[in-house]
Amino acid sequence: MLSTGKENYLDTDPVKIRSILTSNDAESQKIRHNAIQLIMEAMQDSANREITTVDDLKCLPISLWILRRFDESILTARVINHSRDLLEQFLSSQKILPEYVSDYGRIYGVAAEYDELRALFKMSIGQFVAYSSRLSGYRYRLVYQSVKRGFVYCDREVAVKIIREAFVRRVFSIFEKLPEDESYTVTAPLGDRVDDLYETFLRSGIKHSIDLGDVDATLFPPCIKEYISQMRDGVNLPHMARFTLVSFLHKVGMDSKGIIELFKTAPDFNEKMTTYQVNHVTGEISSTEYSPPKCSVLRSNHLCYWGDDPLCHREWLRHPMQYYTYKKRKKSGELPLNKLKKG
Amino acid sequence: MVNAINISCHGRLLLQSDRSETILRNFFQEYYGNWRADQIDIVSAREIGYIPFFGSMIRHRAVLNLDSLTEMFRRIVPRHAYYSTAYYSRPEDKIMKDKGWLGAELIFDLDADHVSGAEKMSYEEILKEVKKHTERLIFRFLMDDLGFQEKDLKVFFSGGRGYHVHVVEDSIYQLGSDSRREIANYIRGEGMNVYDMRRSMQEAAGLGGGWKSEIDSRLISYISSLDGLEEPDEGLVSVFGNRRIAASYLKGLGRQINTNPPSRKIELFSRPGPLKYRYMDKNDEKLLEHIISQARDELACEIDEPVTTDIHRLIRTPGSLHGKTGFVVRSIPVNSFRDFEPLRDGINEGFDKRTCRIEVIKPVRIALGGQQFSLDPGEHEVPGSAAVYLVASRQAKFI
Repeated sequence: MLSTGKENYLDTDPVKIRSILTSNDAESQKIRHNAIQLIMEAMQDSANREITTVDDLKCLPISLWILRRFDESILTARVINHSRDLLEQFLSSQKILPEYVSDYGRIYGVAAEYDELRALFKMSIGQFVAYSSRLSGYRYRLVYQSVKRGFVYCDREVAVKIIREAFVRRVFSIFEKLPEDESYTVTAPLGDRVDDLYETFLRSGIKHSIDLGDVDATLFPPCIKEYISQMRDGVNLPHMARFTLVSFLHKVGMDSKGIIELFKTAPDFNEKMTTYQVNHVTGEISSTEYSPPKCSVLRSNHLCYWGDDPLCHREWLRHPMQYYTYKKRKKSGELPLNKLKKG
Repeated sequence: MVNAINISCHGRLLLQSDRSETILRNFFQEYYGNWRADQIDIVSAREIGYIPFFGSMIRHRAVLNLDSLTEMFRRIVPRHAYYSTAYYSRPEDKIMKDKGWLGAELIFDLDADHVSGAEKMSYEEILKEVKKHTERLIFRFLMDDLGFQEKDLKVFFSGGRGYHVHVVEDSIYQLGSDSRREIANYIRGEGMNVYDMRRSMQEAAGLGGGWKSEIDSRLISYISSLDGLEEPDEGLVSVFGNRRIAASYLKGLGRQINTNPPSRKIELFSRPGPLKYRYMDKNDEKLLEHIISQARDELACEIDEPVTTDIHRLIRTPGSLHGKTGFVVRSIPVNSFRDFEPLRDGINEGFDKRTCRIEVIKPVRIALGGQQFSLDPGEHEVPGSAAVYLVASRQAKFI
């Protein structure tokens, strides 16, 4: 039978890590190898590997110590997202029975229960909303869930997505607590392999600066600025935020090549897929040239960052493009459209 | 550490010539003289704020305990009194991010601003309408759907035009704004559309509980009600906006559908379950859209979304007086909410120990404390609580 996941795979205790790094037994050697491999895969975007047991993620704490030593947020985000995808793939696969999926949920802080009779997962509403807010799409909105007496009943796909979000949050919070100065001593037994890995990272071009070309980013609404800033920090943007960003940049005059370049900083960048998606949104390979969603849609998908920006709070402002047009006209000394007399 | 209390307003008070405001403040002073702070847990971790009678909003205060807060308000005599729904490690810090946010209650604010047609309603009608929404929020959404228990809820009459509901339960304190927005959207029925609803209905998660099951059962009962009709009724005509389309839709319900085994459309659409959503055409979608919108209109609660999603919000202090009405921010036990009458139970009877002479500015028709007032402009003698209400709401002046 497969592992039921009772073990804690996220133990970053330096003493335990050093013992794995210095031990010669086959198990420790494998974990060491996997830790380096995990980072390499994330860099090379070779997400094709499947994990057959969650034991394959036992290497993650070592990878985290290495990443703490590198202190490169874009790489950290890539590795955590890669691990997340491996976990998601594993929990979604037939290799693991549904009743064990909830055991993994518990490791990462989601107390889900499998209801065999209805073949559904049951979790508290508090936990559902805590982790679903980063997921975009109707499947993860509370209004579309079966809700009863404080619990959400969802299928395996939704439950796995919630667990993977809990995993990401847990791993990031563990990572943030790792002391950087200790990372050198903890990872020292790995010797030159860590330096080689960093060299590979520097050569990979992942660490890309964001270049917006001739487009004036000071005129962007706060949502667009936030997406760009999150991407710069290695945050994996939700689908709708990417769509909004691409369609917005296209509308303000950036060409597809420039937009694709911008996405190279995304932690899960895949050139082929990005090119296809960007060309689809901009209408180059589809019959539709898409526009960014309205502010109300962004708001209900938790993607509005209006904060205290007074322009966003104007009653007439309903679309990110309105914001840009208003600012652009104002900057060029033209009368904003809302002040022009009709007729 | 408790900050020094800003009492600069007292100096300005002496210079104020508005006699009416001074008398009103005396009433508030008398009230706070006998008032005791209550219902706020871990008050030392809350930010305290208030608006004095003469002066502007003062924030970022902190107190050690409920006695300190009682003492503070007795000295200050606030016109409006607030505390933070959040807990902080340094509530007195003036910079939000330095306050050390530890968690926050989940808050629902219901008032007239979000009730449609409120501008044409009287104060009493507004309060009745907002009460209906609050009742639905408490019993249908918070208790039935979200599973909170009576002990997890604190309900208050805001003293103004509505109610505040606080959820105080372990699972919600740490929720961020986005997670709270998810709950707010659920309660407002926000974000539902036909396209996603159709897809969602066909998925394995079933239709038990929540908006989906409500909409499914409404659709079934609507379609069932059409069975046997020869001609479309006005309801159906209004769904399609056209009698001819409505008649053709009605006729189409009798046709066979290619299910396995084949069944009449009306039979399939009158049955619970996801199958019917697979066979919907454009007109069925139009009907579904109508059902969604009707369910939302009848069941959603008009809560103030920014209040629920704000994790740093200041809210009225329980038991304090609302400065624009003089009514008490009254705690209401959940099990007696249905019996609560704001214009009877929200007034401070202590004010009625005396009567006051007031000059009414514009005609007033209102029932307060069980007494009907019908006052034309001019001088009147009324009980203290009515005088406080009319002066605080700027409908009268003390003479």
